[in-house]
Amino acid sequence: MSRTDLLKGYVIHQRPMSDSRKILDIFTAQAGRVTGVVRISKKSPALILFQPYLFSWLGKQEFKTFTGYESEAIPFALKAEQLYCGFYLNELLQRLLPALDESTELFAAYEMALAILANQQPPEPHLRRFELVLLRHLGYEYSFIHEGFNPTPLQANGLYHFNPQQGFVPITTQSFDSPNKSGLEYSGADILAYHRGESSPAVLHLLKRVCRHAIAARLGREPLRSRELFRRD
Amino acid sequence: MLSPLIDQLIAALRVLPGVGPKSAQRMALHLLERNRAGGEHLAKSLLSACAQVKRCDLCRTLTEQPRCYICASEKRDGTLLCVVENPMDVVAVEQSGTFRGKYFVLLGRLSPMDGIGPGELGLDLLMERLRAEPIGELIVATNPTMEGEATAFYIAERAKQLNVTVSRIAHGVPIGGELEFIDGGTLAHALACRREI
Ligand SMILES: [Zn+2]
Repeated sequence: MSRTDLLKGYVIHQRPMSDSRKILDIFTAQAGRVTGVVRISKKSPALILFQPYLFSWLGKQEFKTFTGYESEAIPFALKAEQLYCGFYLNELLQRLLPALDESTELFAAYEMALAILANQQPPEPHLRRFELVLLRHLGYEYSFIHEGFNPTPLQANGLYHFNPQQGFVPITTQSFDSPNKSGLEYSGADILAYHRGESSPAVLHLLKRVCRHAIAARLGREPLRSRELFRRD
Repeated sequence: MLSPLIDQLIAALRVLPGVGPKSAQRMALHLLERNRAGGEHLAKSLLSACAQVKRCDLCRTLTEQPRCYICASEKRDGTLLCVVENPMDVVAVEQSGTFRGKYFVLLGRLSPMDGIGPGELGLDLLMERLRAEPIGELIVATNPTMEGEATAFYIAERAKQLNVTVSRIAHGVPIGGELEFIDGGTLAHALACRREI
């Protein structure tokens, strides 16, 4: 990032620092997650989530000073449960994305997911896509055609565990050293169906479990708070 | 700089919003030099307010009574409940002079990353009131931010299950505003929520 560039980004989190300053975490393509302070006044327009802004900024350290911002386009008009999904995406970025790390592909996946949410299309495939791109960005890319760390092809009639470090490992071989803590089994046929690009309910369900497992391993103990909103009581 | 007690007072005054070191100094010296009685009255008022003001049992706004004067009033329409984020919002709606119902104050809005979920907003208490009281309409007046909208949706979903009519305050072009100065998001919303005349 050079100092003269305007950064296009979305606010993923904001918290007050004093009555005239806020700390912002923004998500950008050029620099991933960028944290800094911005001066606010009663007159300055509120920063809205899911709205692209152009930020001007200063600072050589990791913590920046945002010297100004203007909206680049109108916000993605998320409504109802899509808002919860949007909060979920933001929380994932806030928790897992390292600071100041170019994220072009992830940024595109984020904008795509927001667009799908705003259009009220079924979000599941795009949320999963976002999660998989995020995991790849963090260095975890899973094969849906070979066993993890192993060139052995997955078998349609095989049963597999998912290991968040490696990927799919067959249940039939010795799994003593990596006991399946999640208690989940995956059918080779479903895994291969995803690889072929299918998006049947079974495939989406498989993908949801895999992503949840892989993300949980990255998150550690602190659960995602945005998941509470989806709970039915 | 002046004396430990004066410095302490100046530092204490800076808890007030918008009060920087210069204004804190001016306030402290003003009280000490020109208005000691006023200063003592301020100190006593602060002490008793901080000791006694709590939250209304019914609506969670600030009051030293078990129930605030609005909840206790017989003149207010108990079938109409307005949900707001903060006690300041109660004051704002009251000043509009058009609302005759009662309130429920969330003391925030859903914001998972700040650890504010349904539990923190007292939504159990709100749902309990909807079950127990003859409330016919719930007006959700949370702020028009994404968090405020999510809060409104969360409440609406649950209130509808209890057969309560839920409405949302309108937002859009302010009275006296000029279209060319209004941001695109507000205008898009105003257009989407247009009505026939
Ligand atoms: Zn009350």
